[in-house]
Amino acid sequence: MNLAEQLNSGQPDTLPSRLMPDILERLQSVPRLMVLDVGLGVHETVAFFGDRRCRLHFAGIHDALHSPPRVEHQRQPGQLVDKQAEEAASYEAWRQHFAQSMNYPTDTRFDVCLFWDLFNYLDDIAIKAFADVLSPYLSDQTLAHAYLLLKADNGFSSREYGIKSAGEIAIRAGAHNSLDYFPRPQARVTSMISDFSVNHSVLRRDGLLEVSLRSKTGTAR
Amino acid sequence: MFDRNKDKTSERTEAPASPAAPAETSSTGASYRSAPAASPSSASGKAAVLGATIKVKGDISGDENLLIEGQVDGSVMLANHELTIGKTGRLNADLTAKTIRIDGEVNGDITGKDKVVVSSTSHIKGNIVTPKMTLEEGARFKGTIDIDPSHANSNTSAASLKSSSTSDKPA
Repeated sequence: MNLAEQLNSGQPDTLPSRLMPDILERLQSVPRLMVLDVGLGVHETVAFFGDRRCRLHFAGIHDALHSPPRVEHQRQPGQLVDKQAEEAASYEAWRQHFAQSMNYPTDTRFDVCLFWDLFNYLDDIAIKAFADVLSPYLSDQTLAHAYLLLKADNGFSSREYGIKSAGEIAIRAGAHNSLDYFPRPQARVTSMISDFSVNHSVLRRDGLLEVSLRSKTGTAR
Repeated sequence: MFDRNKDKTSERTEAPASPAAPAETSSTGASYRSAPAASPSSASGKAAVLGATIKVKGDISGDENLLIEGQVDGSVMLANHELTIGKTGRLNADLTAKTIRIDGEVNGDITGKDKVVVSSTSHIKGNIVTPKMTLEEGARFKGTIDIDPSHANSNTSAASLKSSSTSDKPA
């Protein structure tokens, strides 16, 4: 059974991760770990963190993408399109959309953000809006993990992710294959999530770039 | 609200409970029977059962295990006992108990002083605070889980976590 068949069967498979062990190692000494997982909570992730003091925030952002915000642009015949105003309206609509999913107490500061493949489903404006909503919840020590799609790939498919062990990511077929996706270079993504810089990145065989990030103003743990 | 029937324990039926089975209803509207075999309540004996057709508006508290298959709008407080929300249970309520298992729907904050178990059939909108949390295979959760293994029976409550949360059935 290949990976696609395995995922479609509903059975979890595992992906080895070369970067997650380092991220988790750096978090060992955090007395009360604050975790943001942009997906839904799954068995593996809760079990992995369940034996230590932590607060797990499962945002379920992917689900929110199935009903994106609608922006009505008022265009009069013969008028020039005010592209800047349209983009500003779109940004504001996305910002409010994400703020509903990430309405945390104002003193919340995440130690680690698990972005998984979220950025691949967001256009540039939506990424910027997401990053700005997230920004108040970051500290100068925040670490993060993501999978980026660099090139258009017909084999790209929706997955659910969880942490099975430090070096193993549990994956299942996701429910988001109907969503558009936006391949782009790593540098373009990081230019839009300006609070983070890339710590390490590894190009995987499946075309995804595994990236570990850390808060730009932070120092190494 | 169940205390006044405690002396009726011997009258409780011993038949296995199922959500579709008719409930033996007391004067309070609550019903009593032995807990289902798969329920965590069975590990420590009998549980009071709020049957599938029972609707309660108000606060429930008590000193015995409880299985809820009906609807509750209010709160449920079983400080030292086990609470199970069955598959047909529909609660708009904050829940506090020693251990809590959720198979049905809960709209409210959940505080399990020892343990919380969320099954794949559950649908939750609320925050969870507990020293030990189990999300069963197939379950999906959206929201916040506060875990502190060293603080069993602590007084921290889920109500202190202010954010919107839901758990979803498998995709």
